[in-house]
Amino acid sequence: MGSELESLDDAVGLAYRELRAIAHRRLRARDGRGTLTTTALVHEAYLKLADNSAHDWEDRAHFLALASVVMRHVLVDRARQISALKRGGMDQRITFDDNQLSVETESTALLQLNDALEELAHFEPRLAQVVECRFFGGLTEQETADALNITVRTVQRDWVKARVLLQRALSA
Amino acid sequence: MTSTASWSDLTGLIDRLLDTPPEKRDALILEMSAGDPRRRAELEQLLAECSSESSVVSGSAVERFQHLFDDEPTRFPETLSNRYRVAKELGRGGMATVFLARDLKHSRDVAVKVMHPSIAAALGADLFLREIEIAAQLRHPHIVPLFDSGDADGALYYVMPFEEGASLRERLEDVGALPIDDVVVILRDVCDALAHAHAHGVVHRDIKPDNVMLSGRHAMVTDFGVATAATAATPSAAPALGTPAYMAPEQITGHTPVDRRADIYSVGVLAYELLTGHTPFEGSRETVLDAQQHRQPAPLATQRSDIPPALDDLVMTCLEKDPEARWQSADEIVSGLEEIGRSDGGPSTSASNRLRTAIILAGAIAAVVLLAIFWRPFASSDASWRDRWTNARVERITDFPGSEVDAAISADGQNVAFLADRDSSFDAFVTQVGSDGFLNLTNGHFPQLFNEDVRNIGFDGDGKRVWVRIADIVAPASVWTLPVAGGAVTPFLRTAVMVVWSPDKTRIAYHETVPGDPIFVANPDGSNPRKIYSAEPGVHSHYLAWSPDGRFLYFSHGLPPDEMDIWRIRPDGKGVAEQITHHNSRVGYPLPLDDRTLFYTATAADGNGPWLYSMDLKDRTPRRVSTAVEHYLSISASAEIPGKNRRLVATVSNPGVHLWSVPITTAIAGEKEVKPLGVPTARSAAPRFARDSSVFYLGSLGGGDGVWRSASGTARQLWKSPTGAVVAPPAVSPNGERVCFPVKRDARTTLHCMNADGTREGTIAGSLDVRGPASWSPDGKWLAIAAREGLRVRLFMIPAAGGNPTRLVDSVSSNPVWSPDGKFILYSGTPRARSVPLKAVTPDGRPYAVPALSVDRLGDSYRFLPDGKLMVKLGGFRRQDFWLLDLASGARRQLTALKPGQSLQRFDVSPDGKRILFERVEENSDVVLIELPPLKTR
Repeated sequence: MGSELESLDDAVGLAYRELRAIAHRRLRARDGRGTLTTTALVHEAYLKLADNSAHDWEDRAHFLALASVVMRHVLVDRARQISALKRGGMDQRITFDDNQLSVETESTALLQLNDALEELAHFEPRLAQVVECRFFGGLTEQETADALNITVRTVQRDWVKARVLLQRALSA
Repeated sequence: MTSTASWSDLTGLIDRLLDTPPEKRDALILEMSAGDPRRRAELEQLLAECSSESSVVSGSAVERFQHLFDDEPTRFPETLSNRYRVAKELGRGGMATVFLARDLKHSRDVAVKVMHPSIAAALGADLFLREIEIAAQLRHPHIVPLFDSGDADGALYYVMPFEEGASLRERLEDVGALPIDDVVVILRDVCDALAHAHAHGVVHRDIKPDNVMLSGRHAMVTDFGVATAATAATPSAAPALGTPAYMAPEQITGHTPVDRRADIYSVGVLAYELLTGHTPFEGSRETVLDAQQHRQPAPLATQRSDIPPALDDLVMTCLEKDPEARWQSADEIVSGLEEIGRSDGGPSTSASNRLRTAIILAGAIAAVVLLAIFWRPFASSDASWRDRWTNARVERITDFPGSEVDAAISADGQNVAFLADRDSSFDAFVTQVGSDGFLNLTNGHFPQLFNEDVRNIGFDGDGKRVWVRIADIVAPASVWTLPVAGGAVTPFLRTAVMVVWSPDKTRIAYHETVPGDPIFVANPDGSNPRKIYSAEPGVHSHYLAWSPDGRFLYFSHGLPPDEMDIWRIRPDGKGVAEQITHHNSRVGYPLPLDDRTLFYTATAADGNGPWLYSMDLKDRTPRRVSTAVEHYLSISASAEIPGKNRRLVATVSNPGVHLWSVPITTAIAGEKEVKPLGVPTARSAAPRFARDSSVFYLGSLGGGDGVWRSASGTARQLWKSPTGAVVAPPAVSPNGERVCFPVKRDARTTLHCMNADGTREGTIAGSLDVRGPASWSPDGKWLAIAAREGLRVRLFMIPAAGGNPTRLVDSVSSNPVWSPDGKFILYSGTPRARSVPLKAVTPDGRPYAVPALSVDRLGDSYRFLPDGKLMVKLGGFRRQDFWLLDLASGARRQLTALKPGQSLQRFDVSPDGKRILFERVEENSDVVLIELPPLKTR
């Protein structure tokens, strides 16, 4: 889905690229003591786009939903990259300290979660969207409800269902 | 993978269950399962899953997975290699990678900083380079100049001179905190640079030790413009950029505009770190960001004794939350620092009107005890106090080998009495102030004169007799007296531990040793005693002292040795006892100097000390008085006599705590066989072996103790608490993977566990207020530890994987040690004075028989050898040796004959059973006289 979005020439595509860039920068700007919240990232991107683009992002909620999708892609892409490297890729700097091992485990965990999320999306797309918004996007229940055009109560129920199903899928 | 069909079943079930009100769900499940117990269990399980936290999708994905991005190498741009020949990568920061390269045109070594590509992409080259170029205009001796900058195919870079020297960060990592002189010079250089930059409209925004390069003694600031450029490119993201530990509150919130005063705040953080070795706030990102905005940093004086008050002031002013309250320009800081650099003693005339006194010892030889008694502003409005301290004279009056303790001075200031030891046996000594001679009053006749939790010696009201606390194996302690000039010792108070005469000499006060330490007031001959106070059993009251006007009796109250505070009561027994201090640490020797000022000794929150403290009884704020590194073990003063000098005597010590090893052989090992453990820490204590023979211990390079690990000749610090103190040896799990240790913070001690490499540290069984070290079961599944329940201490068992602790023993019990076969746990029973009986219990709580043995209450007294025999530390005060004890037969064999006079506290046996590693405390204490000129009458 990522490449589709990127090739779109319209405001959505622009937003997607912008958010991706910012997300990357944020995530790499950490030096062990840096901060990172999705809120800051989204806030920044939102203002930047509101300034630069003709498209009127009045509907902040939808923007947040897009940001959540972006975060998921950015993280999953990175996890794929790490897994590829570990499988005998080109990175010549191979160390075996504790930190590296946990990075590998975390990448695998994220990829497995992503796969389960894909399956969930096939079964009931809205459940996967709620997970994207709440977990990847860090949105509140209200923001998620606004983004997906559903009630808060539905968000809560969907969140329970998604969690239970994902947990079962991952423990199997 | 789960089939989609059952997923729709599940979601349907979830809806049905959750749409039913909670109280009706059980009934619904019964109905739906229609008698099938498996179905019922499945439904209950599903319901439980609905409300439990998922381990996978909890929290924020960004938080959890962000460290996947830690590892991207930045490549040196190809297009630059025709101008710069890259030699190697020097390091990576959050925003850029630094390369060492050769400037081919000018034939010089340069540092090329290449921004991480994604950052460069997001920032936008134009904006970034414009900011860099503004910064590059700055020319100043303490600003690292920029040679070049640009855009190499999307890689943003800038070039500066390669500094051979280290960054301030590296220096801090090497040495911890820096000497005051160096700090002043470095800060001055940094602020000078900042003043210049600010004058040109450039704010640095990222001042931290990593951005300060050292060249000899001087400092240069680097990376001007980078943070600004990044911030300019994304102004709304400013809060998310930067290093939280150094960020000013307004940088974090973005509420008020960020200007040069944010740099000043960062300078304050930098200064704080140079002085103490750590930033004011440490911990997770969230913790630090919150603390920057809402919490006050711990005062500098409590962490380091030699900081001039003007410097302390200067740094704390930088750290004001409100930018308006800080120094408004770096120039002001430069002026302040220059003044500090100039003043080197005597009263300073800074605008803040502080007074500082450095007092040099007279007549000191060998081990010089340098006292810099610093007087922070007394709330007392009496200027004469400050004058008196400015003109105080200090003199070390003992130069015995060994230790002196418990120094006391007579009310008339003429004589000083103290206990001194030779070969761990104490005698009472007296000396006349001004003379060189000492009189031994007891000559070895009374072997147990010293109990370190109480006062043991003093003068009577007239100063003509000395009282001592005499105890022997048979009877509890009592007070005896003898003439100051020497002579026969006669009994005085049969049941008292100490006695003190009221200033007007009409009454005495004393306390007994029965539980509750009741306090009595009586006539000076001991007749007509009235009990005026008693605590609950188990709580102690020691170190009685009268206020000069006779209206109050001050005493140290609580659970010895280190959960005490100063309280006071009225000597007529009316009214209630009032708590004066709130340290909850090792507090003693209250000394009311006048009706407003109380002196006392206390250990600090980080466990260091004891130091000398003062308290103004009106505002009740404690202030540390002693500023040098010596510990103050006691304090005593003569009465205030108009026209006469006032004299104080203190016992001051420089204790060394180190780890030593001694082999276990068939012969008895002596001092010749004792070898020090080679570790870099200045202080090393509380050793514990891991299965691989590495040693975990508590150590420090000068500040508070951290958990260290020594293996194959190297040692490193694994963990240190930012706010508390590790207070007992770390317990290593049998498989060597986990380490657990108690951390004391304020009044509470909790058990922390972490991996053996220092990662994943957290508390376990947080509901327990623990005491002493933990002990692992041999199967690694349990931890035994003592914890406080109200006033009592009891043994508990904690599941190592987490879970509720259960009480193991119903009576007073502490210091658990699990047997190697896992069948029983040794522990210490109810204490009597300094010793405790050895007892044992099975893991399910039944008593287990062991040979009758009394061991030392403090430190470790028993550890197992791998074969199940017991290593026991036996002996008296400062005269201890190790013995091997066979628990089955009761047979024992002496293993060591060590030199007496030092305190062996904690120890452990190596996994191969061939050596003992023990902690030895060398006291090195002396008696010091402080003489103040007479009180000026108005």
